[in-house]
Order: sequence, then structure tokens, then C-alpha cells
Amino acid sequence: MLAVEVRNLHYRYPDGTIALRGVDLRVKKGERVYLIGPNGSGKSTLLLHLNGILKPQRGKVVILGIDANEENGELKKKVGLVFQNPDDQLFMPTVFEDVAFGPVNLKLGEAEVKKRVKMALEMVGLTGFENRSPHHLSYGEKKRIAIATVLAMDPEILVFDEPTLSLDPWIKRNFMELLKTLGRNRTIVISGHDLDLMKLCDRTYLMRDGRIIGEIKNRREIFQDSKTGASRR
Amino acid sequence: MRHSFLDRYSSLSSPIHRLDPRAKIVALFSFLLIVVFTPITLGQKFALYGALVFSLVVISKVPVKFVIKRSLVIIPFVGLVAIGLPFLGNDGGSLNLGVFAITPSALLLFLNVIVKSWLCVVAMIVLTSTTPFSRLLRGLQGLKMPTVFVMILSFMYRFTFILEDELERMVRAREARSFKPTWLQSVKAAGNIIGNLLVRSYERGERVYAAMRSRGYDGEIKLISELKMNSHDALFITIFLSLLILILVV
Repeated sequence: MLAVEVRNLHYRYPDGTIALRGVDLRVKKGERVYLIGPNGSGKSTLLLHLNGILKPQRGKVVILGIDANEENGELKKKVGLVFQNPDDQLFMPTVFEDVAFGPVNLKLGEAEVKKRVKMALEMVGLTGFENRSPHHLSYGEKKRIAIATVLAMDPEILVFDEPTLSLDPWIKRNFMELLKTLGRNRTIVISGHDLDLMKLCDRTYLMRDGRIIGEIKNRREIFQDSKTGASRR
Repeated sequence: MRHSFLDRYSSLSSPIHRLDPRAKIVALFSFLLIVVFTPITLGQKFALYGALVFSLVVISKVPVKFVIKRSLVIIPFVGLVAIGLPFLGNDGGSLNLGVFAITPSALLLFLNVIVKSWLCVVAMIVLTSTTPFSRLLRGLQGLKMPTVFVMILSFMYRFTFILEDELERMVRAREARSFKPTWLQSVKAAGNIIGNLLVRSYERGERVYAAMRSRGYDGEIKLISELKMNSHDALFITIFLSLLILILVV
């Protein structure tokens, strides 16, 4: 069964910017897919379709057999989306409340919520941060808490938007270790332009100008124009 | 960047800090009500109210100087409102400044506004500087304040810091590129910065909302409240309220 199936997806923002021009993407269950591409190639817009925040204007998005156009909130339980900027994702006064926000919305009991929060903070290595305020955290800590807020919901598909952007090499290694421990039973979709992440993923697709233009086997291919059919200006 | 301007000192440890926020909020509001309803002519009562509040300050280990300094911030605001009051009496008076007549009753009215508002502000400072903001919010929620208001306060607190950082960055970027601007230029730049801040806040609002929806937000805010009143809180409320009533009645 496919975890993610995107067919001929188009999206145009209200201000007229065309972000997606016919994206096709298929991700099998348990697969790790890396979407690589320059800034403004439509990666973030595509990811926002995966949990139903944006609805397809043309084309089709089917997640775990659920059509994004027909669902009503179920996708958000199945797909956990980690945003690029942790300041957008952390909006509660304390770390505990932020990590608990998702589980509470899933209507889990209080004991289960606490267990989930504890587990999620443990996974990102920030046990004991429960009562800290987000504005007292460093950027790397915020980034890891943002990941914890999604892990606490225990989604089947995890989506990371530029997870290693502006991380220092130590925290980046931390993230890559975390990625390894997340296990094989979860489908993961990552976007970015960090070539190091390629080796942790099963497949890497190159995205450009609102389309996925092909699969990439090794990092040199990114710069080969004949392979990608586009040239760097 | 680290900030704490609203609830500075709230992470100290003292009997006052450890109280349940609900107990403190209830105490604050009873204090406000009683102070406001005490006639200003009973001067010694106000002295006692002041002593009561400042004894809390001392117990809480928050520097008295800090509390006083912060409380003076309200003087310009209250002063602006109250400045005309001494001249509004019409019962004739002994203190005359040319065409303006200051009457004792009007002067009393002026004192009334200044003293009461200052005492209330000091009490509020005691509350906010002994309670971390998140606990304050939980207290308000525990006292059945509508969740929407609690969330608005919570967002305000959270994003004030981010806006402040953003402002600081923009100001720094401007300074890095401008050399001795004229007055007109700097006003123009300030206008642009303010406009920019508005647009950025609006866009951030959209992104935060998307992040909330991603985690199952459906318009209803659910929070876990973990407050427990214990005997200390009961003791505090009892003592505080009986002292207040004692001052009012005797």
C-alpha cells in the first residue's frame, strides 16, 4: 500500500504565485524520501498538502488510502508535520504544554498525554525541559522541541520541512541520529537542500520550478544539467 | 535571545512564589476591591494596606526597589488623567493659584486616584513578579476565565518576544546601512519598520495557525490544568483576607 500518492498536483497562491505545476510523487509505506531542490521550488507547498493544510486545487493527494479532498481532519492525526521555523511551531507558554498540544487535541487521557510528552522529550534528548518557556531556549533546542511536539502525536508519516536548516554540525548530527532511531515502521518525507541527508534516505527526488523532475542516485547528479534537464542560472 | 520583562523574579523561591496562582489571583482581586471601596479620608487604613502589600514583597524576596521603580511607570498615565482633578472643586478654597482654585475636597479626589491606583499597581506587580506567566495563565484558566482570553494572553506573551527580536534585527540592519540619517530619513525608516513588522506579524500568524491545525486544532482549545490547592494556600487566603477585612472594619 502506498503511504503517499500525489498525482498531477497544482497549486497557486492567492497572490498569483504558482508554486506547484503538476507534481507526481509516490512513497511506499516505511520508505524514506528526500525532496531536494532550490529555494522556491515548491517543496514547502507540497509538504503542506500532505496533512491537509492545503487542499489540492488540481490533481489528487491520497495519504494512506485517504483522499485529501474528502478527509476532515483525519490526515492530521496520521501525518505529523515539522515546520521549518520552530518559532512558528512553538506557541504555548511552556514546553510541556506545547508538546502536549497535539496529544490533547487527539483527546487522549491525561495520563497518556503525560506519557507521550515524556517519551517525546526523551527521544529528542531534552528530558527535564517541561517547564521552560520557548523563548528561553536556544535555536537548536527549539528545533528539537518542535520535533518532539510532532513525535508526541505518534503519527504514521513524519514530514520534516528543512530540518537541518541553520543547525550547527553538532545538533545536525543529533538530528541524523534521531532519524535513525525513528525506526523502520514509519514513513518519512524530508525536504531540504542538505546533501548529507541523502544517505539516510531510500530515495532522493530533485524538485525544481514546482515539479519533481527525477530521482537522484548520487550527489554529483544534482549538478549535471543533462540529468535534471535544467541548468543553474 | 533571552528576555523576561513581565515576570522577572518569578523564578525565585519563596513562600509567596510557591502559592497556587489561583490563591494569589483571588487575593489580588479582593485587595483591589477593598482598596477601591475604602474612603480616602481614612488615611491610616491606606498606610496599613501599603504595609500589607510591602510585607508580601519582603516575604517574596523580590527587591523592594524593583517593585517601587516599576510601580512608578504608571504615574504618568494616572497623572494625565488626574491632573485636572484638583481644579474641579466648586466649594471655594484657600489654596488659590491665580485663576485656578484648589479646594480641599478636589485635592482629596486627586489623592484618591493617585493613592488607590498606585497601591493596586504594586499589588499587581507582586502577583506578576512572583508567578511565572505560564502559571498565571493556568491560574486564570483554573478560575474559569474563558479559554479564548487565556489563549490571547498566552499568544501575546509568547510572540511579544519574537516581535521584539524581529524589531531589534530590523533596527540593527537599518543602522548597518545608514550613516547619520537626517530627521526625515529616520522617520521614514521608522515608518517602514513599523509597516514591515505588521506584515511580518500577519504572516507569522498564518504560519502559526497552520502549525496549530497540523496538530489537530479544531477551534476548541483544550488544556491540561495541573493545579492543586493545599493547606498553605488556604492558610494564605485566610490570613490575607482576614487582615484586609480587619483593616477595613477597625
